[in-house]
Amino acid sequence: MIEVKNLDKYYSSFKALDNVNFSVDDGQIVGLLGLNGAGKTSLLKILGTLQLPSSGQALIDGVDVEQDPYTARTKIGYLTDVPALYKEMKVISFLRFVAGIKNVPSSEIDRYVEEAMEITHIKEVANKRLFQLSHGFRQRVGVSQAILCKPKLLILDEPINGLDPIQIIEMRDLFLSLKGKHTVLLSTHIISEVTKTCDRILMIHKGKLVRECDNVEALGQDQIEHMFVELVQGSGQGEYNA
Amino acid sequence: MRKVWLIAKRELGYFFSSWTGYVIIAVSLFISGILFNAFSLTATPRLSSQVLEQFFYQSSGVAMIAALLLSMRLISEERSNSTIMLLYTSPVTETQIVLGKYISALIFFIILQLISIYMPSLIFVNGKVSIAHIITGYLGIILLGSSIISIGLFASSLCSSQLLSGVVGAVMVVVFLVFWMLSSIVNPPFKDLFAYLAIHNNHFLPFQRGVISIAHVVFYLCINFFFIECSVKTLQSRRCRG
Repeated sequence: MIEVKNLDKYYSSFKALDNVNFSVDDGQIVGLLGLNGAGKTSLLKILGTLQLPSSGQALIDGVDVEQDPYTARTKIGYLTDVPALYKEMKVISFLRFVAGIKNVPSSEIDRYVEEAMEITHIKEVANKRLFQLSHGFRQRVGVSQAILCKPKLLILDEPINGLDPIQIIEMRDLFLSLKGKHTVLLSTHIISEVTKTCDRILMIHKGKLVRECDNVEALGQDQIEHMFVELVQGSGQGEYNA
Repeated sequence: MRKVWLIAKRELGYFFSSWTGYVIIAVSLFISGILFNAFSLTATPRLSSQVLEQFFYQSSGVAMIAALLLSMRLISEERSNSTIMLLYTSPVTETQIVLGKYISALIFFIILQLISIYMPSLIFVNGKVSIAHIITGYLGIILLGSSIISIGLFASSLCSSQLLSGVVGAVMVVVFLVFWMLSSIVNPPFKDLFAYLAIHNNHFLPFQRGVISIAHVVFYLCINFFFIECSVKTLQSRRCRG
């Protein structure tokens, strides 16, 4: 589903991504773990066609995000920690608008919106304006717009930031319910989140992909935490797989 | 075209669901009304067509300010609220975004002008003017306004702050307004160039007098096209830079 080859990203002379290589299979939930400023968002922005890479290649379902961003966008749903919502709109009108711009056929819009609201449990607030909603509900509407056109790839950038513990649990359950239906790339700096949600973890530090963990369940949270701390503190640097 | 219309419809919804649109309509009509009463409906006897010319002259100034106010938030607000991410990660081209925004402001501007028709209609109480003169005058105002909207839209694509984009747009409009003054003090070939680029004095005044000239219509259409294209290129280059 995702193939990233020799990806570099510079902001002036600052190298935000340094020769990143990885691939993700269909249907996986993959966590992108790293400290703040590690390069997670830069990587997601390139995959989300929000930025162009300085060099290298990123393919989504075989489509090069640099060469054909328009087609790549038909394959992704994107959510950030502060979801992009038009707050003066009603939830249902907003989702209908999103469906329209995401190529959902006019005759299917109501059905798609209904399904997305069902999955994210926001039917009760369908007729409320977005500015009237709590952060948790706004985040759900954000997920709703991301999954609306049934994208092959869901890109979630720090989706649980600012949520209270109950909302985090609800959001985690929501992500797990998406398993199998979409490939999910979830970026976070919270280790417990990736261990509870993801099949696989990519650890990124100072712009480099420093480690991949394929057997998250077997390793457990403590060991992953230990690995991550080691990598960040420099004692375990190097590229190897667990 | 469907997406352009969806973006335009959403934007129009914003104008009518927030105070912004109503304030612009109310203030524009209030100022136009005062100017019409003070300068057009004077005690000095005048020909009805002169009253109408005076009305269009005053209205063009108010219309330029209204057009600038309408356009200054179009893209900058999307950027400051990060809602542009939604459009950038959807299968929508930069051209569709810019056209949608432009059309929404233009429709709103035309509605504003239609509401003001009662003022020239008052001339019929004590005088007689040609309907064609009224239509031509409004055509001139709409062409002038659409040009200002395209300039404001371009300024809005450059800045993240609405206020700053308003200032940048105003400076650009003022430059186009003072070209006619500059043309009187510079030597050829700049004299002719500056005289041609004078957005109001050279190109609007014939409409005010009830004269339609294809050359002036083409000038305004070219200004529209140029600044819409500049806005599209600005959005495209911002994606490259990230």
